[in-house]
Amino acid sequence: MMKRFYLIIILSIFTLGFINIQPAQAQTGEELVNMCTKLSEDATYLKDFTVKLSGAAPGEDPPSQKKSLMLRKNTQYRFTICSSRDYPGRGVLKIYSSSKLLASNYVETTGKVFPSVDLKCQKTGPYHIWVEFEDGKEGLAVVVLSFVKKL
Amino acid sequence: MSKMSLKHLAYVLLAFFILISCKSSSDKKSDEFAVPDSVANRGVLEISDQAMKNVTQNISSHIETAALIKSLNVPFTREHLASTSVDDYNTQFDQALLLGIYGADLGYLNMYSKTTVALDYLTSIRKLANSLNVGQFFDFNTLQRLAKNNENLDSLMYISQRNFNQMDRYLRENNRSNLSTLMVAGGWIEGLYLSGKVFENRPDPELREAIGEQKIILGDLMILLKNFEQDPDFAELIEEFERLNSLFKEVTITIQKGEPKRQVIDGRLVIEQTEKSIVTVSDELLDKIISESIEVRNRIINQ
Repeated sequence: MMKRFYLIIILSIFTLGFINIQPAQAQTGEELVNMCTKLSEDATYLKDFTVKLSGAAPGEDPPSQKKSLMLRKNTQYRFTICSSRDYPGRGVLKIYSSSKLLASNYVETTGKVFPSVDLKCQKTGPYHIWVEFEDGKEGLAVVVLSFVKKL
Repeated sequence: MSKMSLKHLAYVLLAFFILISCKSSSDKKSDEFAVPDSVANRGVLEISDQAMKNVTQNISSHIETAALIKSLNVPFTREHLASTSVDDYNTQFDQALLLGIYGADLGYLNMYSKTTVALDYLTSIRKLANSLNVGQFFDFNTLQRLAKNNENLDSLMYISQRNFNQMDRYLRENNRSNLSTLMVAGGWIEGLYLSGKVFENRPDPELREAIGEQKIILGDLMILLKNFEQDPDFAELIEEFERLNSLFKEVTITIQKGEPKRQVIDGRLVIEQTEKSIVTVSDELLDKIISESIEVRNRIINQ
């Protein structure tokens, strides 16, 4: 009887231990990059960057993060943004050239958020990519820059 | 409770505590690798972490350069590429430069699907990456398998590009931004060199413009390099690049203004930029730029 009791205890502990050792099922940055690259379809991966932002406090402007990229004329690029399902925020990206908003995956007039934006670049130079999360929510997202084709 | 029961209970509790204290980590990355003090301290120079984060990325873009060359229907030429012999490169300074150069060459090889030749470069890249303690980011076995079997070339390109990005990011985030800068510089000069060599045989107007607009990119690169100008090796490299920079200053780039056009094509948002950069460079100046870039690159390769 006691032997059976201890056997049950030991088996339970091993089972619990095994569950504890399993890695958490959260979506990692690496998984997001791979997912985002697949979403880029037939474009060739160039670069990726990860953005993690905490939620904005009430009345506060939503936090954002910037990356600067050099883009080349006569090239079509694709910017794909993938937001982690483990956080409430949905990523919004904005592409600036010379402090002027050039493109965004979020269309204000319709409220639609596109998973990617293609840019047919005609001016070589630095471009600034700003990422924030809708409604200032906490979020984790990956942006993948891909090469689509020469124009 | 009997002594035997207590003993059994103790063993059970011991097993329990051992199990819950075990942590499995699938993210066995890099920080365990020892970096010699001389290298670690060398990277911590003038530029702040925040400034490095703001640095423009994608400066040496192997894929765009290779894609342009290939789009001109220029046949692949192995003789343009750097030799894969790495044994004479003993300092991390030279190794990082060469790693950048090989990154550009690998981009060219991948674009032309020259997987057999790419194998040699993968081997050399692995050696250099290991010497720089970033070998853990270079998935040599997978790349070798893909190249040998001539399979899934998209994956080959993706993994090799990704690995280079990871090496670069690791260096920047771990006080080794000097080596990251050298990789970028090496990749950039090799891209310019390849463009120049191709232009010598195929004077295409788009290639001409692509060479001329390196003026913009070199501007950013000089800022990166000058952060380390206190270092004598960097000072020498800066002098080399400054000769090129002074030539590029004579290139004229004008901007023709325009508003972007937005379309949705097959469910995808497409922005067409109508603002254009127009590059003007004389034949004589272009020849000088190409000659100088060949000299600078060859001096780096030949040390």
